[in-house]
Amino acid sequence: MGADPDWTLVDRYLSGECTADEAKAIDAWIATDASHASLLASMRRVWSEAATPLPQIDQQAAWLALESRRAEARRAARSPVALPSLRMRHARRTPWLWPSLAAGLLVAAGAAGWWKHAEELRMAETAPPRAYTTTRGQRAEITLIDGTRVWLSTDSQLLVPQSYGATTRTVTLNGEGYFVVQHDAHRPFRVAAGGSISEDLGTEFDVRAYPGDSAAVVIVESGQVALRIADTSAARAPSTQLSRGQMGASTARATCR
Amino acid sequence: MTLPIVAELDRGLVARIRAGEEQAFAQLFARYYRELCVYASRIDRAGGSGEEIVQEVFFRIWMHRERLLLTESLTGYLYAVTRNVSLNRLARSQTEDRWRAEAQIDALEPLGESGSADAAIRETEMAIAIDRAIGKLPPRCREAFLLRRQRHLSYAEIAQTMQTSPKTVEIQIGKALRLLRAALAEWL
Repeated sequence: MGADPDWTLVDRYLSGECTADEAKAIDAWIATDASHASLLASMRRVWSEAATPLPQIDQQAAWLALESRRAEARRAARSPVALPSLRMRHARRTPWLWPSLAAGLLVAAGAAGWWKHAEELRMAETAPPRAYTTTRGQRAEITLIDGTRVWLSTDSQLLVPQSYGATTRTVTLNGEGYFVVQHDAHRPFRVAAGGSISEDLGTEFDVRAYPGDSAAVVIVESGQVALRIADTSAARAPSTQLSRGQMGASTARATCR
Repeated sequence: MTLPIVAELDRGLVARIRAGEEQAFAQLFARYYRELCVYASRIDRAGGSGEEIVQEVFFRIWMHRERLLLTESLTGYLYAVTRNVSLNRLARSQTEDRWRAEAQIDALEPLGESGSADAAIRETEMAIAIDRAIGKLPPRCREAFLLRRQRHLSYAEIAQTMQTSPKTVEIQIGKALRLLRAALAEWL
């Protein structure tokens, strides 16, 4: 690399603040060794690069945005295509045939739709869940396909099964999340966290269960939440209902404030 | 420039994305998003962060993943697509002419010689390396250097801002240049 130059002189040279004498000193230094000119050229490169800072990029947010855009495209691709309308001119000629043909088409379309749906369900159930993860200091806002919104706190993970929304809506949380749920009595929204299950009854609520926490803590902002211990042996463990402003913890006995 | 083994790994990744494997796509995104944003921000004359453009790049790649074919390097391909999306956007913003808009280039079909992509890759990688090297400078040293470079302040002005002496500033900036030179030895 050769001997170091007088860096202050280099700075003044790159800033364009050299006096005539200093410029001469630089020229003399360049002349002493062939590598000196290329060093100066390199530093000029660094100098010009340092003038424009690189863009600040939030990669996590970008990925979530891309995810929702792709989900949007998937939904659009899945929505049914309208059958072409039947023209009355033909119907007049053979009045009985067209309606029955149309009905047949509808039945066939329905069956195909049902089969496709069943196939999608089968695939969705076996697919690995989608994981949304925040690292320490990071937060993320996630909109699930049903419009339910989740603010995922720092150092947390939300697992959303591929079958989410098909018949049930159960997500798994490690860490903390704030949920604003699109209520649907037929497809209950449930959060499994720290050995507890919180079921939405029309709600906004916060669930906190970091590994190492002794219990999952649930705070209800609005509406109601049914909190119960996750227990696979019982079909349905007894639950405690929490309302606005109440906090529940899923230790052996759920407590309310 | 690309090592054969890397090309082989890329080929595997591309095959998995073509097959619709989500994880492979996430991997591609994680590996290239930031770099492509830096590149896009350099060619975006409006001075954006490049994120919108790169968002579009990844979206299109996923939607047309069956068209993803690896001819040369994956990196080169991604740079070319990013460039095409940027140019299309530029053309769209410059003219409301419907006909011009429809004559847009197919973003996923890279044109031009690969040599230009190689230069762009090297430029971008170097910009990222320089940025990283600046980030690794000792805090006071970095502060003095950036005030000098980005705000064009004199030693005295920097000394006032940092509540220190002009002599200390001079030493800090000299140190910054020396450390940057050492950190970037393999690039420059």
